Amino acid sequence: MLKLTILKAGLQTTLQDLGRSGYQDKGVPSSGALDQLSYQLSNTLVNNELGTPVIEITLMGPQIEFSENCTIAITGANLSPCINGQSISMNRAIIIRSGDLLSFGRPISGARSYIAVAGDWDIPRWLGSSSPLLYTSHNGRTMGMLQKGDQIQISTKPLKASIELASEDHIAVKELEVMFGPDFDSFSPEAIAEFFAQDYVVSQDCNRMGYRLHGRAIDKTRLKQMISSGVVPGTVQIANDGLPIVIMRDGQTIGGYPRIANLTEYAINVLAQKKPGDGIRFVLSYQ
Amino acid sequence: MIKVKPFGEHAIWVQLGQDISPNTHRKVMALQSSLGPKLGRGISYFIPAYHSLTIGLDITQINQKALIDEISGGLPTTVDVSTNKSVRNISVPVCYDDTFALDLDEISRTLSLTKEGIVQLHTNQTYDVFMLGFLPGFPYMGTTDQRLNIERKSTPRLKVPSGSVGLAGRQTGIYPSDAPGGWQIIGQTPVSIFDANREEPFLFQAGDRVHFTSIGIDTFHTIQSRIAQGDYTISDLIDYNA
Repeated sequence: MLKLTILKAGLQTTLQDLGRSGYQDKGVPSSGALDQLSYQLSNTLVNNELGTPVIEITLMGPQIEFSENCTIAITGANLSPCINGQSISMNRAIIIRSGDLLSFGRPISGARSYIAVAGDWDIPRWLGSSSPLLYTSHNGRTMGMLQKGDQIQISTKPLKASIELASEDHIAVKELEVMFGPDFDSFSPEAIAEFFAQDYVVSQDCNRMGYRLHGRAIDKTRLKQMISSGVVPGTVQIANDGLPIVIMRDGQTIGGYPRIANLTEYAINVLAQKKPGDGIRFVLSYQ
Repeated sequence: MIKVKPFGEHAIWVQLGQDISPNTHRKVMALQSSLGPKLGRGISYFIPAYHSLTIGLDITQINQKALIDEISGGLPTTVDVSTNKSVRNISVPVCYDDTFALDLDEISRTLSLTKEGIVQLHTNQTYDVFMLGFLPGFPYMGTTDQRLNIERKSTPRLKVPSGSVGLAGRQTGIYPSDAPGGWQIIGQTPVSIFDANREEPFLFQAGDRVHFTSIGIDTFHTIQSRIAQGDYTISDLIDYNA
């Protein structure tokens, strides 16, 4: 049995997978890997079943020691992955030897990276998923982030064959495709035009729950008081300051701000790779 | 006014009214109930709220446009409230002692009511659970007596203790876990309304009818001990109204 030991935690390192569905009516977000595209690719590269957990890392990566030989793949953001101090390729299967140390360096592009390991992960699931309820305290602890000293057990599988990808296109994309949101017709034509014309900037206030954007406030004069309603990952709300908040996969399931737009699934994965200071624009998706 | 709209690529949003009232909410619950057979067969989740239902889709099994057309075509039959499932009545013990009633002093001044008066009004009626949200298991219940109408705290607490019972506007709610929050706290329940380790983690669901009963501090601690010893069945609080 392979044991991964976390020697250093990194900024925000968590187990993630496809997430959990069916409990949104209880206020439980779907969670799951924030960039589902990179996540699913990582498992494909090591021939894992869809839904196998991975380690999601954010900007500053962890240090992980491997107790046995195995095969891994790293996808998503380029956070300068190294084995025993030597730079390794992304987006392909990599052979790991017993005692190897995986570490990360300078973030070069993107925000979140995924580490898949070929095999069955011996991880408890809650309501069908290994994703933690990161922003909820339970018995005084958050179901959480991986910490120094944590160990993950994996029953490894040998790899028969694999593929390699040159790069992942969605990481460099700056445009977020959206559909009209349910409250779209509450906004004036001027407000809509302003929403699509702007170069927004990701603020410091961005995480797995949601992303706040900086920019020019849009006109809210036509809006009436909103009755709270469901929101889903990708929902773009306009807050009282006239600026957008995008709900992400750990976000609340109920919102009270007007919902001007909704990101496509692809756009949610694009936004998951953005960090504070990155510029984005909204574009209307052809549906 | 009823609207049925796409909500992102994987959901549909249905508006069933324009207010917060039991009448409008019953339509939301009726629509959810009528769509129940599709759960697991194209519908993966619901988010009932005050006046709307969000319907989460598995688009490998169902087509968004087709379901929008089907829902639009099926109204108003599907919101016929006479077909509503039986309602659960839940009784929640609450200790309104000063130890737990963090904001009761202050709001008694704001509302010009005595603390006992506030507790009386709070325990005097039954509430509808309109929706769960903000935190896993947090019930939004209403509508409280007009005399209890109070704004949220201008400076939210960094940590509201789990089990705290609060007021905000004409709503009352219970914190299912320690969390930051701005509701005005008037008491605490010893019962865990959310326990991730329990087979049924959540006590409430939308559509429940809830009333609060006042208990003393000794009873509060007794209930807590029984829970710690595994001697307290949370489902005993639920009365299924046949």
